[in-house]
Amino acid sequence: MADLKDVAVIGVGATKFGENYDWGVDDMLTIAAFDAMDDAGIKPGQIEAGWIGIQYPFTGFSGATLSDAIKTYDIPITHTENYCVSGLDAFRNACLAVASEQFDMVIACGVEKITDQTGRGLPTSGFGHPVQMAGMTAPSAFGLAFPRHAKAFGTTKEHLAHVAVKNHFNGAVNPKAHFRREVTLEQVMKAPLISGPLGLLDCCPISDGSAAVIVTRADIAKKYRDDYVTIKGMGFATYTNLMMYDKNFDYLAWRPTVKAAEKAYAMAGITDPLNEVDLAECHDCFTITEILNVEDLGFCKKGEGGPAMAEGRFNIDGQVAVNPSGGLKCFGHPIGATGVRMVYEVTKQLQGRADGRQREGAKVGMAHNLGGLGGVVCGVVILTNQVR
Amino acid sequence: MTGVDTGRETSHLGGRLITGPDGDPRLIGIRCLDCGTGAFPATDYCPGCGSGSLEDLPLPRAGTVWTYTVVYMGGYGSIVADPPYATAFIELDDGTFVHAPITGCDPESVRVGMEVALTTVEAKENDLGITLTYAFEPAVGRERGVGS
Ligand SMILES: [Zn+2]
Repeated sequence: MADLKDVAVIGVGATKFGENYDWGVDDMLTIAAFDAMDDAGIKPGQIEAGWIGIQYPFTGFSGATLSDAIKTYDIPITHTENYCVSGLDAFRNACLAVASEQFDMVIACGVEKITDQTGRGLPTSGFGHPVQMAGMTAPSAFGLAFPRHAKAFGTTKEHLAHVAVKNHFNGAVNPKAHFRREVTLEQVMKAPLISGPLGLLDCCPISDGSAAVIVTRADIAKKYRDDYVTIKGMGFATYTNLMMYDKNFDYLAWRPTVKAAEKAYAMAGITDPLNEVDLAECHDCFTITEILNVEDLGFCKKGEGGPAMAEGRFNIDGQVAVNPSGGLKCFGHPIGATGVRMVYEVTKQLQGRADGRQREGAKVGMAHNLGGLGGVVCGVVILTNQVR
Repeated sequence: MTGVDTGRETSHLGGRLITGPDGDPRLIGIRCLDCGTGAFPATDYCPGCGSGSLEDLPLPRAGTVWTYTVVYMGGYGSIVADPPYATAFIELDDGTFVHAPITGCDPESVRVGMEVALTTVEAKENDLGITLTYAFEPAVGRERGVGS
């Protein structure tokens, strides 16, 4: 009987992220899915089931969005929606299906096409309470965390800026990143304000893009490649859309990150994440989000996130390389695709194929995906290149 | 008391905003008769335990800013103000949290711990069907309506 730790990733693919006006949803999914199948050395007819992460109805409905892209019909395909975790939840379901031995070879994809939409910023109507959310934006929901963190721990706007500088430094050499350029601390500090204290360069962009991964069991993976990676830990958690009802809500931590990480670490047998995780693709929709996340993931003490960024502890050659890809901040954030894109990056890192942004000697990598305004849903997946 | 429903047909959408005999606005939340949870906006079932045994909970008008952000790029729009505007979590004097805009001051002057009191605001055109809504504005001492 197989379990989650017998699940392997044997192929990864992705489009360039960015303003992909010349590609439709089908185009991007086709590119990402065939990129992943080519990487795995398989053909569409071998896919037995699929999961497709999409957040917005304007991107697509149902599994048919994927069946048409991969020209594979008559198999079960499920659309997963879970805010910004839609993609990583597609991957989770694919892993569970393989672990159950119901299927041997499956695909997990994500896609979003947002830049064609009218309006400014991420569409948030329908998120949370209609009256209380009126006038709220995605940057606002995360910006609300800053005054609490600043008051409790002395976190500054300059601490936030270090997150953007780091992630742009990493992503500048990534050929598929939305932005292929570095930014300076001064540029981040002086950028126009979006939702105080978050400025333009504290915010991830609105992007189009798609990513795909091929999932199978480790005993089958061996037939396709030697450098497959396997699941070491996995945890997901869901909190609430209505934080104002929770008397214990303190805006000092993302509760679903804490809970999902606890589960993933327990499964992985990790007790000292700082020394047992080499790299993490960590949800950095806004710079403040990453500061809280690195604390919640146990990479530093609660309240130390800001100074730790400034000290370079999470640089690519730091204690843990956080967002070697450039993260959402620089690589881009097509919502449904992001979680799958994180698995793409972690897999490449563990295979030593992350050209120009490689974390040397990486053995254990994490995909951490947070969703919802104020931290509602989280998934943590830990992958390894070490034989079980 | 004259009631002005700020929501659609049901109280849980907009919470309830009423005008008391003294002309002062008051928000009405709920208190759970089973577990004691107090909450705003009002719900039909207790957010703490799911019980349907609830009573109206008139909320204190006064509170302090617990956290805030100043919105410079408005996205899909406030029903209260054009950017820049401040939106905040207010901790009312009874401990209930209300998420609301701050009006009546320079948004950049808003700080954690700032004393505020409930006020009413004519809503901008919106598709929620709301004409009158609530916000908080700076207030100290008697203005805060402490004890009312
Ligand atoms: Zn109750």
